[in-house]
Amino acid sequence: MKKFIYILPLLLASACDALDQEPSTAVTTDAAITSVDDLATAVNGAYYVATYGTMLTVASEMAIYADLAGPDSYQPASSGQNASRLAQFSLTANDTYNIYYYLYAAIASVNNAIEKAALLEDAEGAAPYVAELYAMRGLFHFHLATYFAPIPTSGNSNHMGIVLSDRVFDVDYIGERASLTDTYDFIISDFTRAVDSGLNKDRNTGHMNYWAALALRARANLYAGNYQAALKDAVQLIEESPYRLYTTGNYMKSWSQEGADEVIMEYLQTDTYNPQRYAPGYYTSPRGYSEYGVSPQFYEWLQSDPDDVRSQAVADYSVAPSGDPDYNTGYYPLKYPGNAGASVPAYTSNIRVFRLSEAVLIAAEAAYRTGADASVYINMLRRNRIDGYQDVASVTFEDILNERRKELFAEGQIAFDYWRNGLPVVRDGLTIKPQDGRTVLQLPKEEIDMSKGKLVQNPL
Amino acid sequence: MVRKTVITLCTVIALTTGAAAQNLTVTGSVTDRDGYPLEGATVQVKGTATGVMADPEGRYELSVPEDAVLVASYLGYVSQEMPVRGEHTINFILAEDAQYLDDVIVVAYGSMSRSDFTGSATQVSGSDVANSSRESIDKGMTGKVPGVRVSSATGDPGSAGSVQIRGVGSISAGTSPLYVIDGVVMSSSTASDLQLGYKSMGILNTINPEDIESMTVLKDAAAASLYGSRAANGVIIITTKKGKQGKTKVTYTGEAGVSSKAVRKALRMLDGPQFLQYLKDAGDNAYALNPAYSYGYTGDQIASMAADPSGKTSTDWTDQVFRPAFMTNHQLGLSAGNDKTQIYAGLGYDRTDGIVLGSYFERFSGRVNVDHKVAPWLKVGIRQMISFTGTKGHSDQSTQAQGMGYATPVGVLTQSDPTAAPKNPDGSWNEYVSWSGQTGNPHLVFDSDTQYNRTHTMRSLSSLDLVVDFTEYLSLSNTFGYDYIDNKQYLWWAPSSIDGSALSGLSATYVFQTDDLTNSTILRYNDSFGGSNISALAGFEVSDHRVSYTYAGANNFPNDKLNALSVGQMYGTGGASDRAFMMSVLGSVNYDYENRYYASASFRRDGSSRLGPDSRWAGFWSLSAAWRLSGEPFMEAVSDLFTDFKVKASYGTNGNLPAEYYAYKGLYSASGGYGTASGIYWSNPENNALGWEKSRNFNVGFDWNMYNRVNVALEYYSKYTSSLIFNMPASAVTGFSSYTSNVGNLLNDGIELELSSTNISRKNFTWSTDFNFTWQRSLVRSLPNGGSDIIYGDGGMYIHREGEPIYSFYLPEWKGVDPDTGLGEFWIDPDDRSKGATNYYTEAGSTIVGKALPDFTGGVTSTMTFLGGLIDLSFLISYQFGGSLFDYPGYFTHSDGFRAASMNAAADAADYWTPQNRNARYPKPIMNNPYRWDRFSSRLIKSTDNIRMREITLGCNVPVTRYVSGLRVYFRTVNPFMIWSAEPDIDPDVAINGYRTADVPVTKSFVFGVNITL
Repeated sequence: MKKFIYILPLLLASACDALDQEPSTAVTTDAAITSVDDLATAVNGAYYVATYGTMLTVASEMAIYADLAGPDSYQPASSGQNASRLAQFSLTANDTYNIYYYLYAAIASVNNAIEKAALLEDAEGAAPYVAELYAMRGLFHFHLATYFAPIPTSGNSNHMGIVLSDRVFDVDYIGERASLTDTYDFIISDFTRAVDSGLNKDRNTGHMNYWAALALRARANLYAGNYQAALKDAVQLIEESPYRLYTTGNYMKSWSQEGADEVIMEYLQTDTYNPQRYAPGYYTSPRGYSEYGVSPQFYEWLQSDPDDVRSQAVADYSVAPSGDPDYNTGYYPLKYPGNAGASVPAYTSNIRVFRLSEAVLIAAEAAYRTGADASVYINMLRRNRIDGYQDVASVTFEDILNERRKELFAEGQIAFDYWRNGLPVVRDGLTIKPQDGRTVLQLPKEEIDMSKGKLVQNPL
Repeated sequence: MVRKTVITLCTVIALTTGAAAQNLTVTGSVTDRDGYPLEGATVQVKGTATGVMADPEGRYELSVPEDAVLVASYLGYVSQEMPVRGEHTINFILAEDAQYLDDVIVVAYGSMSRSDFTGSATQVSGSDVANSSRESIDKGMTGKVPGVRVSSATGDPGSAGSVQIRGVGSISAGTSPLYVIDGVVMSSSTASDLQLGYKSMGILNTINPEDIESMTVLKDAAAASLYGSRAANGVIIITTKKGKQGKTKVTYTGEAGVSSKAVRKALRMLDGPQFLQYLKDAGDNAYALNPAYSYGYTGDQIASMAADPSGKTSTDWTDQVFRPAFMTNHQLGLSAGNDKTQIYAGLGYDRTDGIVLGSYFERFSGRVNVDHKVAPWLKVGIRQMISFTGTKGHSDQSTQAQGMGYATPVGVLTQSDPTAAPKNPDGSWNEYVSWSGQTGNPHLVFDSDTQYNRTHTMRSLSSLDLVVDFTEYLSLSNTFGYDYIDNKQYLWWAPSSIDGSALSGLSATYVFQTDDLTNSTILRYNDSFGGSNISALAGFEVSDHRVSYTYAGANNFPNDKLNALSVGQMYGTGGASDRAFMMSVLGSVNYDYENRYYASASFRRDGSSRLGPDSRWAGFWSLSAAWRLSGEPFMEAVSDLFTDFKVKASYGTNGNLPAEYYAYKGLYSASGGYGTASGIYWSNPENNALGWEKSRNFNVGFDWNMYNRVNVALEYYSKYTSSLIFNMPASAVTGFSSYTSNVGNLLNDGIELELSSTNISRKNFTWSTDFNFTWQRSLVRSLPNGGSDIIYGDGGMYIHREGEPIYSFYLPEWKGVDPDTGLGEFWIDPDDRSKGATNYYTEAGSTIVGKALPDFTGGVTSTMTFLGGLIDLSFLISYQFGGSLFDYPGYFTHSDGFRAASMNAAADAADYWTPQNRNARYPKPIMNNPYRWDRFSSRLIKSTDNIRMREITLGCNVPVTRYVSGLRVYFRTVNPFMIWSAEPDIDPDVAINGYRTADVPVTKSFVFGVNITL
């Protein structure tokens, strides 16, 4: 056969080799990770997948999901896009695939890279990346758990967690949901693996370094009700990490800054890699989709203390410039102004996953829950936010919650804070109690259909 | 063929030597309908041997009795009878006979006498195709070939059509047939190899239908198996025109016409007063439920936000988005030759404006075909085609994507406020007509050059044929083909445009290139001995397919004025290339004994780079036989009724390849990035065993000619496809939404009937009809994982279930409107209605509510000539029954108030429930409707049953012979009207999967043309 073919006239390529063609933009799995440099690239690739530039990922609408669902949310306009649907709790099982898929796909790449890293000769060189991969796996599972499972402390009668992706699966694998307890144990243990490695203590913008693993472990412990553990990690972050709280002087500048003082973990967004119109920046633009504003009450509340720099982080766009009927009037958060130098600012703001001020707030809340003094942390934060601030001697739980509303609005946390503390989200006619099925997203219909009953849907 | 010529010559000699009583000399001409003289046509006195042959000018002279009847006949044309009745001049204009045209049929790697052919194939003439579509050869086949279905997702000129032969042969791999042009397999590029998804573009549009001599559709294994791994979806062999020996013929055809939306009622929206009432009701109903649903406003307050709340303004935006569009076509052809060299040359220009403002399709094409006999033993054929195709238009929704673009025609149409006037009092276009605030005035969006998609495609198709005759019996041919396509796609969103404002303008240029190099070398053997005829061939073939694209984009443009990339700031670049290689050996043998018993066999072995090393080689074969009963002595008694009668059967295998280039490889994609660093990620799971999709084809049928007047062809076929290349859905937890695997089986079977007859053949009136009928079904026979259902498609709207048709819609079932509450209801469990109904979409279960593919399809062509061929009239009616479509635009325009804050509703949606209108068709509208009755359900499934007038042509062959040898003027209309339609508000022409995209509907056209032959 071969001989016969080699004599073909006009045959340009040597024949049988021509039947092995290689793609120009991909390498075979076996050849993909053969060095520590490749491993570093694979780490980037997993972030790329998790923050893939499309709708309903952690870098697009889901970055503001808990704000849209929270008590201070308001829609200056409805273009019928996902943000207003999230705010109305009207996302159905037909709509949640992206939210599910991109995070699990990123985890699959993480698991694949962990497997390949074990085969590298330079185990020492690979170790920091392996530690980061575990921290990423914990983070991506944590995102999924907050979307698709109740928060353990919420008192919801649904005790189902999520499917745990702890290794490389065959393509026909169908997972079952772990219990809520096992889910949070798994998340915390992945963060712990990264922390226990002791590696990656340098600042590394956009990456899950040691401090980011510690920070997310603090948050996970808070969500799981492990207040002592949360307090311990938070305090370590405050005392030992290289991050510094913003001051009233640099607070507003920080939103367009990459690697700002406080930011322990952020998802990088660039001119090339961004979700375009699904970006929070486009949703918070009066000339964009304008589906995420803050309520007038929230705006007024922030303005009531003009010495608080955070009052500047919301804008009054309630009057349209004349001759612009496409301008959607309202009050908007200013936390997505676009990265400095971005080509299209509304598309391109880094997504803050964890700032040091959240560690301070976790410390305050965990201290409160464990009977320790919370005011020291609240004072610490306020001193850096309010000009001429006078320390208070004690704080109530409501003070801590309100401080979170002020500090972390538009950063994907508020509704979770209410529900995990057993509080309802109340907003213009809507009351969403922590026990309400709507606090948890429906698993994608595709996954339910495929699992043939193995995967149990969240109750409505 | 040689034998036939001899017979013809003998007949002529016999005819001319015969002599009888003569008392009148009749002269005249014999021409075809284009006025071209038919040299060698015979004119004979009926019932005698008296006759003559027409000269090179088609003229004849004959002495006959006064009461004689003359019969003019010519191979491939319908014979015509004319009584003399004392007249001295009798001109014959003969119509081409589809049946006789097929006397020689083009088949895989050659051509053969139709009578020797044992497979299943239908040949249509190029002019039949070109008459239906000047734009694209695939669209021109509609209704003309049994078993062939032509569809298109959008009515935009230049958009892609799709052709399915004998059902749907694959679920995840391609279902498009293989196209072979002049013996060279055309580029296997798919749409994604050549263009960006923004706008549908058909690759076949680059071929000028006017250059086509004939198209042969190979349907069964006997006909197609020689193309092996690419033949599972059938093969369409295109033969371009060749120069003819004899008088040089120059033809010019010019056409001009106008097109518009075919179904007038499609996409009509509520008028101004209706819209205001709808807003009021939707707002009030929402406010009553929860003021948050109507943003705290009452219905009156919402209605007052419309452009003209008085209700005095009412604009039908359908008439603003769509327009009557101009089209023009010019064709120049030259055919010349002598016994050594034949030349055909053609030049064509086509411009078809789209019915959406600002869109068009344009093609310049040229072709030269030269056939030359270098030496008695060496023939050379060189064919070169080059075409430049341009389109301009708007982003469309031709791919099944969720959502509706703001700058798409249907997006703008549905979001325009019918109480806004298109123009300001000063005559300028009114900018503020969008109800959602996201779209713009269609005149400004589509007709202002601020936002468009432009493509510019160059295609060069070259082939070289060398035939070496070693002996009378043995020859070797080499065919070399090179198909090069270069498509440049330009996207411009000006800073002021809908899509461009966020980016401060975007200009992007994509350059797609594909080249396909094919070489086949075939050794042929022909011999006859003792009543046996044998022909055989053996050969090998290689084909090399390469594609690449390069992309550059810029944004941040200073203004709308300039859109060159250098004017903006760098926004992005990209590029990649792919390649697929295939090599094959093939062979076939045809044998017949005394033109009564026929047998054929073929074999091909293919190896493809698209498949895993463990299974990339596979063999395909066919066996077939036929028996001409009419040649048997025992049939002589009924030889009038059975002028020709042949039964045939075939069985064989064909294959299909994955559309992806490297589907079997485990891959890490390197196209990602994070921040400014590169990123690689696991993008494809490995499957080294990935192999061919294989189909087993059975075909049985007969061809029957009665009294030389009626032809009946009936066939039954079944195609069983196994090892389907299947995108198996995977759990997201594995990292993949699907993976490519060989699983599952499909069954396509059907009956095809062709009936053609010459009903009347008189001097002043001839009438012939062709009727074709197809019954077809495509069933999913078995599925992986123990046969469990596979739910797929947008929102899980389709299901694969064993025993059910492919493209079955799986959706909640609409019960109707509760007349007491005005709320919509779905069955909780459609398969068990005792469980009752629910108002909430999310509580509704799904069932199979329809299927896309029709059961019965077909067409009727009727051709009449009057006054001795002076006037001719023909029409084509197509019909289909048993299929449904999914009305995606209807999802937006029948939202029951859900989208009232951003969109108008369809005109028929005005019939909604109010306390005064309790038996309404639709439920009461509620803004941001929490029940979501609008979501995908059986409400959106509409029957596509229809009988449609496809074409009417009225022509006049002007009897001038002084300066030209033929002059024909004609009027033609395509899709002029619907004879009957189950759903009058919607156009039933839809893509094969039954998914009506939110896009431009099918058009109708009215064209006036002139054809001059020198």
